[in-house]
Amino acid sequence: MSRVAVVGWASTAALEPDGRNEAELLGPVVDQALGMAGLSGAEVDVVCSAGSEFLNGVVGTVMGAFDALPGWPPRTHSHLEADGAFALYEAWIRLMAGEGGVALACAFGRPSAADPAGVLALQQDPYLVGPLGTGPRHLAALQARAMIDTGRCTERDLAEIAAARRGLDVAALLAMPHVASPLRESDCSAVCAGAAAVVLATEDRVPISCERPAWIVGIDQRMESARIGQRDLTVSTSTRLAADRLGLPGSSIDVLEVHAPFSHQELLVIDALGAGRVGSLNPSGGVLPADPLMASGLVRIGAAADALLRGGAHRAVGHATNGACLQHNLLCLLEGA
Amino acid sequence: MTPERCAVVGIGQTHHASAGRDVTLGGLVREAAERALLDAELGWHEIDALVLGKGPDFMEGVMSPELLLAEALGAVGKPVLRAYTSGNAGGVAASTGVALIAAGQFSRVLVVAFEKQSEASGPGSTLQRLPFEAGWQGGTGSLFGAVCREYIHRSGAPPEVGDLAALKDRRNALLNPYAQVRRPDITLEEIAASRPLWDPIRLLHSSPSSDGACAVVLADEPSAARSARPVWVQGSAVRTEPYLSAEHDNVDPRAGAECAASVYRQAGITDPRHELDVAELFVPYSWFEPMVLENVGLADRDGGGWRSVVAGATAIDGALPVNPSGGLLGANPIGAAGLIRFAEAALQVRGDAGDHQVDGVRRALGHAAGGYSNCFAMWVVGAARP
Repeated sequence: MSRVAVVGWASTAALEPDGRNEAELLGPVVDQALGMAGLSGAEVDVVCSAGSEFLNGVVGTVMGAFDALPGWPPRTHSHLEADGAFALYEAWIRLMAGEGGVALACAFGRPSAADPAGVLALQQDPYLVGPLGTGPRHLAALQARAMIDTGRCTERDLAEIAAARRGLDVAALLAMPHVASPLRESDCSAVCAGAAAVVLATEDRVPISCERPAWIVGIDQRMESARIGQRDLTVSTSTRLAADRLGLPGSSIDVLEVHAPFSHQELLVIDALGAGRVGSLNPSGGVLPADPLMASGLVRIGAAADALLRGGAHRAVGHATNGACLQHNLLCLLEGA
Repeated sequence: MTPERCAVVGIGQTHHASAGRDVTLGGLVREAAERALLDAELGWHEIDALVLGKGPDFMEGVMSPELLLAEALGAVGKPVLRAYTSGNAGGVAASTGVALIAAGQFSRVLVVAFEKQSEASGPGSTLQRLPFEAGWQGGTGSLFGAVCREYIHRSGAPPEVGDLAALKDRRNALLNPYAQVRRPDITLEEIAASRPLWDPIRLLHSSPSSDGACAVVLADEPSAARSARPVWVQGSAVRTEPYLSAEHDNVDPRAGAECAASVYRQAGITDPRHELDVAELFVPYSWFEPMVLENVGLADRDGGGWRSVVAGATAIDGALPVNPSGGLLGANPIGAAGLIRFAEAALQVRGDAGDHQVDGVRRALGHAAGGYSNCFAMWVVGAARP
């Protein structure tokens, strides 16, 4: 199998609704990512896009977003209702399966068109749990409480994570009220609209202008049960499974980008990785300050690759998650030449 | 770089129904998946990864149902991918599954696709109510009616073509125990006199609203060697084009033609009309049969499609049988419908299609379509290892 590298990426986030639709969010980042890679849209063989029509509030928004993508003449294009990191996984698979040499993984989300917490509550069992209206914050708060009860962390620990990611003062955050005890607003990601694009190339198609391709050593992703009551919420078993498959426990990582929509989940992912050394954690700032739903996980992989593309780091890991309480987790291990 | 070979080693589907009120979403997918595993003589623990295909999440009102269905699909602790890309989700899911095997990442992949339209309003959930567009209540049928009219305009097809193609699929559906719509006494006159919906599409030209699921187990060569009757994937492809592109032709979309050309090339097929023994095509309205035949190179582009239908060439005992299962007119659980076409193609190769088996099938085409005639997935399966 040919090696595959990240050769370009870009992202955008709109913290306040700014009127851009899906295609307008996606188009510029696709151009920027291809520009960074030194490739044209015509050279893209495989497109894997991701988003959520439910979040955007209109069926068929996926079709409208296609207008922003290299699409004529027709090509291999698959769309997932998921975070873009899973589109990147599929793009990597399709390149290794011999379906092409250059792939574009991209994602977009415009949750400002709907009530994101209400929509995400629809991920739960529609017969028994959904009618209760349990949104992501309620479930994440149960998880954070369980971690505090086991002694893994305190509310102050969570505030310290939030303060570090947001550049704010710990004491000031602790003085704020809970939104879902023990979580405060600062512990919850700032859900917003946005888009991301990552360009992948097989070894023979990496542009000469790309001096430091970020080689994908491996990607592994694992699912857990949707039934919160049947999981030990204080550990991320699926992240651990993926980390084991990639040989991460005990290893040295220069840059780690964690997709943790709630501050305590950063601890869960780091615990599950079991890395021997993490040089830089979330140099992008992570998702607490800006969380463009459906693009956030792909941004983490782009940001991890960025450290290799720009030089200065050798080994980077991007993490992405989907579902309540870290139900579905993906790890992407990247290395410089 | 040589992709790993891939074979279909297990096939299962549900008895499709307009409202499967006896099962939950989990029960529905589980029924198809368990039949596929039983057919493959494999246990849940022997599956390495899963792909779940389905249409818009609006159909059931559950966001990202692969999360909810993790346990029903035996997916806990395993990699899972969701396929969508519109109504051809089932076909794309199969293509993703083939890629997971071809990339050398997994030995056995379970591909499941479903739709449970009775959970919500099927036509209602495909309506786009955009704030900047005039309100219209036509659903997808109103668009496809216009496409059929354009086909008639270009090809000179006579009015009875839609009736003949519908009669053929409805009679075939009677031979398929999994089909939902069964009208034993159906006549050409009844179809021709049925209620007009979107000219030229009439009620009995149309596929129903359905609940249903389908599953296939895909295996790499070492695993397939332990299977009694592997059906080999000789070609697999996905092609998509932007539906608002000025170049997009709804009647003869380039993405469909190129998707077909790709799977024929992979399978070493130069004369698909003679080298394929049967085709399961995505025909949601009977008028699409002649259109798709021309688009995928199974008939001449000057009206060869409708002439094949009129001549009976696509009948179950014709020169190139199309949709011996009854196709989408028998059942259309949208997200599963593409995978059902793929699975039926494999059943035909294996000789296991029962009363709707075509004699001597060595090679078959499975075809899925979606969006606004702009999204396609296809595979060619055969008895011979590629």
